[in-house]
Amino acid sequence: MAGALAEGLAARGSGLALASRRPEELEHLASDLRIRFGVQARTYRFDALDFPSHQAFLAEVLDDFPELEGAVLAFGYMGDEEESWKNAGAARRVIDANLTGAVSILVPLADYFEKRGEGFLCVISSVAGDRGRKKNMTYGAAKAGLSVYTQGLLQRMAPTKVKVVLVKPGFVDTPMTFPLGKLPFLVPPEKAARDILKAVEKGKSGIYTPWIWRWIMLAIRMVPDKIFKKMKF
Amino acid sequence: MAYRKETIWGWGRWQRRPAFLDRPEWPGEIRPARYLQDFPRILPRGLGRSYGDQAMNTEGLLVLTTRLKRFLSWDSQAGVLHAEAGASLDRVLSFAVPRGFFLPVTPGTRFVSLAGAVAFDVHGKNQHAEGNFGNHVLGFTLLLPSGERTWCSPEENPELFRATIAGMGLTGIILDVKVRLRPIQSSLVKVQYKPFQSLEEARDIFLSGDQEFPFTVAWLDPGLEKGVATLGRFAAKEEAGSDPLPVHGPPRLRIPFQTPAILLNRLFMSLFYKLYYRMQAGKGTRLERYEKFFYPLDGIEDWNKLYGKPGFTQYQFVVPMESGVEVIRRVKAVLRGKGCRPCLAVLKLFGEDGAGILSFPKKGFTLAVDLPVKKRLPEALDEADRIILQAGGRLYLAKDARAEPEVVKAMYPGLEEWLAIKRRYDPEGRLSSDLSRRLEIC
Repeated sequence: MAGALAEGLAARGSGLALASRRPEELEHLASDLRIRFGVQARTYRFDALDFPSHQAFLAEVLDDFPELEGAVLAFGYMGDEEESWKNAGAARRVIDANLTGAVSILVPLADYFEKRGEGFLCVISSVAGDRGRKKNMTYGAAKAGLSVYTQGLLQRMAPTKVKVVLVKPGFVDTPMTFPLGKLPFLVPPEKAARDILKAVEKGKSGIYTPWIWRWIMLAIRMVPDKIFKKMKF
Repeated sequence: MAYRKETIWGWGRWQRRPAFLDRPEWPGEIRPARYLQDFPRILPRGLGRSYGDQAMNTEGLLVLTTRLKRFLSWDSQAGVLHAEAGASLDRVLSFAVPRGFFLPVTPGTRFVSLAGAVAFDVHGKNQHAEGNFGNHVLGFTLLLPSGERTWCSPEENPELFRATIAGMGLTGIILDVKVRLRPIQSSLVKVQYKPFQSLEEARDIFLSGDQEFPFTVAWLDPGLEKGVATLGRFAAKEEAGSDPLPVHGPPRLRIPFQTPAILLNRLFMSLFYKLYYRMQAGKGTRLERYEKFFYPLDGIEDWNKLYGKPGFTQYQFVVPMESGVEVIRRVKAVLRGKGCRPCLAVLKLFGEDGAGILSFPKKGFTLAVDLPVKKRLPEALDEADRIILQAGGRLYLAKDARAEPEVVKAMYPGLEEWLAIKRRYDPEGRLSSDLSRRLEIC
C-alpha cells in the first residue's frame, strides 16, 4: 500500500524520500517514480525495531529534503497470532514493530513538524485497533495504541497548520492479506491510496478506507462483551 | 510460509484447476530454495491470458508476477525500456505513447506481461515485417531454480536467451526485461478495409506487397472463405491533426459474471459485422485510434466470461504458403463434420522464424479460430492436427489445451536442442507446468 501511496504522491509532483528495511529493493520503486513522473526519489534504510537509529535516519532525510512537507507512516507487521500467544518474544516483536517503533520515529518527526508549523503527518493504523478479538489481538492492541497516540498528535498540532490524518484501513489487497483468501470488502492498494491522499488534501482528521468500515466497526464496538466473547470471528 | 489457495482458469475457461499461489511484492522475495522446500515444482504466472493450461501448475506453486511492474530505466533517445517482468504492455503503452513510442510487435491484447510476451514470443499483425516480440528484446534477468540470477541477451548466455524466448516459463523465472520501442509520429492508425470472397483472394491481398501498410490481418466469417482484410500503418504527423498522440483509456465495459455461451457468439458476430459496415461506410482509408485497430476486445474487461460454462478453445496453427489455402479448407471440413463451428477466425501472414528455439511462427499463413467446446471437438482437433503436421505446419502452444505429445514433438523438432539446454540449467526439472507435463516435455 505504501507503494501505491508513493505513486499517488509522485503523480501530484511530490519528490519523495522512501524508507524501508531493504533500500536496495526500494530502489526499484524510486526509479519507477523518477521515470514515470519525473520526480526526485531517494531511498533510505529504516527499521522500525532499530530504535537507536531513528534520530539519525530522520537527520539524514532532512539533510536531503530540508523542506520536508509531509510524512506517511505505512509500516506494519501482523505476525502469526497463535505464535504470539505461545511466545512472549514474538508478541513483543509485533507490539514493537507496530507501536513502539512508530512512536520512536514519531517523536522526532512530530517535533520537526511542530516547529515548522505546517505540513502533514499521515499515520496508517487499522480497523483491528477498534476492538480486540482473538484472531488479531496482538496486532490490534498495537494498532489501538497507535490510533490513540495519533489522536493525541492531532490535538497537539491543532494550534499549528500541521494536518494530522489517522487512517484505518479494512482489508487491503497486499502481501499481508494475500494468503488469507477471500475477504469482505477487499480493496486494491490503489483505491486505499486514493482515499488516503484525498483525506490528506482535504485535511480530514481521520478516515476509514473503504468508508463502510466506519459503520462495520461501530456495529462491532456496540456488541456487548457477553455476546462478543462467544462469537467465532 | 503461507500461500494462497485458489481455483485457476485458463483464458478459455475450459480447464479450472486448484492452485497454490505466492505473489511477491519485490523481485528479491522470489526465493526458489524456500519455495522448493514446500513444493516439488514452481512456475511463474503473469496476467493469465494464455488460453489453456500454460500457466497452471497443479500440485505445484504458481509465482504471480503481477506486483512486479516497476520501470527500472528509460533511454528516451534509443527508446529502450527496462522494466520488471510483470509490467503489462498496457502500462508500457500508457507511458510510451505520449512520449512518441510504440511497441514494435504487439499481440491482440495489451493485458499481457512483458515476461509473458517473451515466454510465448508473441506476434502481431506485422510478423512478416518485424518478426516476434523476442526479436526486439535486448535482454532479461532470469532467476534459475538454483537461486542464481543471470542476464540473458544475444551476446551473454545466448543459448539460455534462445531457450527462454518461447520457453513458456520453463527455464526459470524472468525478473525484468529490456525492450527496444519504436518511435512513432502519431498513435493514430491509417486503416484500409478490403473485402474478399475467397481464401485465394485473401492470400493475394496479403502477398500483393503492402509496402505502405506493415500491419495486415484478415477477419473471416464462420464459413472460413469470405471476410474483410484490414491493413494499417501509423499516421504521419501531418495526417494526425492537432492531437497526434492520444493514449488509450481503461476498458469501458466489464462483464461481471459468466453468461450463457451463446452471447459470445453474438459478440463476435457483431464485431465482425461492424467491420463489414465500416468497410461499406467509406472507400479509401480512415484514421482510427490504435486501441480499435490493435486491441478490439480489450475494450471489454473480462470478455472471456462470455464463454459461459462449457468454455471455448482457441486453435491456432501455421502452415506453409503453398498448401495454406488447401489445409485451411480441409481443417474446416473436419470441424464441420464433427459439429464444430468456429465463431471467430483470423488469418495473418508470417515471415521468418522467431528468435526462440520453440518460437511458433514460420513462413506461411496462420489461422486462429475460436471454437466452443463441444463433445466431438477433441477428436476433430486431433484430426486437424495431423493434417497440419503432414503439411509441414504446427500449432501455437500458447493457445493449446488438448494436443497430443507425439504430434507436438513432431511439430517442434527444436525440442531436442531445447531440452538439452533446459536440463543444464534445471537438472532436477523444478520448473514445470500442466502443459509441459501433458505434452511430456518436462
